[in-house]
Amino acid sequence: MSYYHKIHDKPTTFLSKYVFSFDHKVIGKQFLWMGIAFLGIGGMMAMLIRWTLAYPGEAFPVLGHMLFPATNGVVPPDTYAMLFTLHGTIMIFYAITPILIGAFGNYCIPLMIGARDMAFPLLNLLSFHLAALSGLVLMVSLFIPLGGAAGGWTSYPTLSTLIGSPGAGQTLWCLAIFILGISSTMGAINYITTIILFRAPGMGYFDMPLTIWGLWLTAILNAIFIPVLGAGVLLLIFDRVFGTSFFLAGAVATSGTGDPVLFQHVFWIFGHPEVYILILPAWGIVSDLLSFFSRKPAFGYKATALSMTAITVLSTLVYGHHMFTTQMSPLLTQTFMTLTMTISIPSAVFFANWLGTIWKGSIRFDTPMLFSLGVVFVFGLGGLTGLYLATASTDLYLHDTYFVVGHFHYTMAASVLLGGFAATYFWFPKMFGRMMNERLGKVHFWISMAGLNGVFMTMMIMGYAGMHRRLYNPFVYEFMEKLIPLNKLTTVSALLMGLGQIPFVINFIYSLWWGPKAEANPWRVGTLEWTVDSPCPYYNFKEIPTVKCGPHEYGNPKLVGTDFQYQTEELVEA
Amino acid sequence: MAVSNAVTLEDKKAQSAIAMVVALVSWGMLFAGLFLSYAVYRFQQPMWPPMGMDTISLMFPIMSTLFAALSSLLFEVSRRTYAEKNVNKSRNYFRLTFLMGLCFLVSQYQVWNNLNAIGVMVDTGVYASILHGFTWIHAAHIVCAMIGVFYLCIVTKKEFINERLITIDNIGKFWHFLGAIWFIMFVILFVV
Repeated sequence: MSYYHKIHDKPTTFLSKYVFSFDHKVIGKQFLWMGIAFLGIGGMMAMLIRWTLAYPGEAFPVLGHMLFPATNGVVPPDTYAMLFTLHGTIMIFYAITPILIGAFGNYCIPLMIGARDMAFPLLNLLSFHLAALSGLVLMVSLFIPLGGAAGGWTSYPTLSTLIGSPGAGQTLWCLAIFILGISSTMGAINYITTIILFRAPGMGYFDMPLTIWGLWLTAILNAIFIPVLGAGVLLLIFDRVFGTSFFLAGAVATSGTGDPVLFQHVFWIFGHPEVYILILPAWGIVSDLLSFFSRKPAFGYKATALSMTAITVLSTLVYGHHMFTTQMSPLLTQTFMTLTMTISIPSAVFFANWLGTIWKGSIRFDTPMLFSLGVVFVFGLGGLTGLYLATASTDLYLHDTYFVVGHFHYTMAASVLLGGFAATYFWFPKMFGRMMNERLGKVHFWISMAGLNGVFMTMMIMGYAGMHRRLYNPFVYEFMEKLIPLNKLTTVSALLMGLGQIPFVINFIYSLWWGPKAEANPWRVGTLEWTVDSPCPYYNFKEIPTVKCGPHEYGNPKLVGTDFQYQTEELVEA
Repeated sequence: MAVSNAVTLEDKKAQSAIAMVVALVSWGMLFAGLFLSYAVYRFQQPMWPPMGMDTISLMFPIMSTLFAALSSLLFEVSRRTYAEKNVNKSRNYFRLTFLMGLCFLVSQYQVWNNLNAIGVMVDTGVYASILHGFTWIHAAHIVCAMIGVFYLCIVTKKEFINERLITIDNIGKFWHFLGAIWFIMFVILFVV
């Protein structure tokens, strides 16, 4: 049995069409604009951080004197703490989450499963507006006395309590995260229900594109684990506003001390699944794109889907590896270490499947494929370096160093951003009815790849050499002085990466209005969204399609005049 | 424009049932996070309540529990009455449910007053933080659920609408869920 909406009325006014739209496609685009805007803000903050590390005590060029007149353009230490806190928060919660989950989740889920909209369009609308409100609260915190949060994106007490962060910025941070949590949970409820009930007739779970698998598993993790963070930040708000002592210990707690480490437990119970919340959509997208552009069926489709499911389950059991240095018992340490290592097995399975998919394929090196191959490379590197952090003995040395920063940027930033760009180039024609420029796309890819590897690889080298994260000026320690040249290289690479986004911005804006008009199926792909016009009409499907084959039917020698089948076509037996 | 077949009531029921289960799992995890914190604090302390902290009389927590149980019972009666298309009677039961919710909040207020009276004020350590903080969070949810019940009191003034049963079911699930959460809180915070 399949569920579907009636075709709703066409929105006519500006407000109903662009601001308070119930249409999943418009909401997806709203999330995309929000994500790109925050990506710019978070990226700018990264540049300020990198400048401070490469040229400590020197004024930030051009903008420095305007932003920090009191220090003659030099980033002050308290602002530095604010910058790395908000850079992490913005990139994770306000850039990657809206782009990968909010934008492509909203845009792709109904279209790829053959539905007219999400199960609950009103909930969807509220989800975006709450996310926007949350972003506003976070940004407002920058302009209040004592500034924004400065306790790190993890906001560990006591840094995040009134003792460590006396201003209201940290409280607003907690409030913003809580509101965003409500928004994400609303989205998760919608995604899960839509995928379970609104799949087109004939579409079984193993007929879904892997993009949908990734988004579905992400939504499940979101629904389960975001409320745990919600509980943590709620108690933190109580500590800060009402004087409770959930996370205060020692002399600062007047009677019966709380436990600062408890926040770490609560945070990472959410935080480790969060890594997969961010990356599963990118894995799904890349798994599909590798098949589409290799013109081959996805190698081991079911194994890939089940591996992602296994990783989803395992991701809930491994959070302790973030806390090896908190005097955890050896038994627990070994347990978490073993469980973390176990994740390598399903990861290796689907990584091998990616390689199997492109092996001997008729690869088309279009921009989405380049970015997908980029994900394969950077995720492989990020995944392998994770093994050292999963192992207690090496983690004790590497903990809180730039090795960790490099590792999680490879997995969470590089993989997810490249996956996001792959998705943007791929679905842009369907979203806006125009093609992006291929040449500029390729320039964007190569500069980004060079830049990000320059940044994150050198970060890992510096971490291995003992450079700690979150230090305003690490070079006050003599043994770190030799790392200044490497830091300069990292900063130059970061600048290159930042400049590399200019072709993307130009390409995106130019193509929106002046790009060549896209045909319905410019990439010759068989999934359902490519069976309708570009841009997609407001009702998606005039008639709900019936699915007759899988999403990756390519290279069948029995096909005549084409190398792929639409999911709505009867499968031609090979 | 071709218009597809209408969506049936059964479709909508299945849709909202799945969504509500996911929502309750999410809420369940929020409270699970709180209970985990409680367990950690409780097992870390050599004695509970910590030295210098007193326990409050069980009268108001017991009354809260009775109000919660009674309100759940009344909600269920009103749901069934509405399903039997007896709209007026069901509206009266919804009003009584709302009243029980109000009584629950009043007894909670008395719990907080009693705590303050014996010196277990919100800023006097983790024991007080737990008693105040957890019950605040629960009470905030009760207020949200009462808004839902109030909405039902208003909309059931009119004739019977089949689709309304879905809304009633959903608000009911949330109401019963909060009752169950309160029962766990009552046992762990006030009894053991």
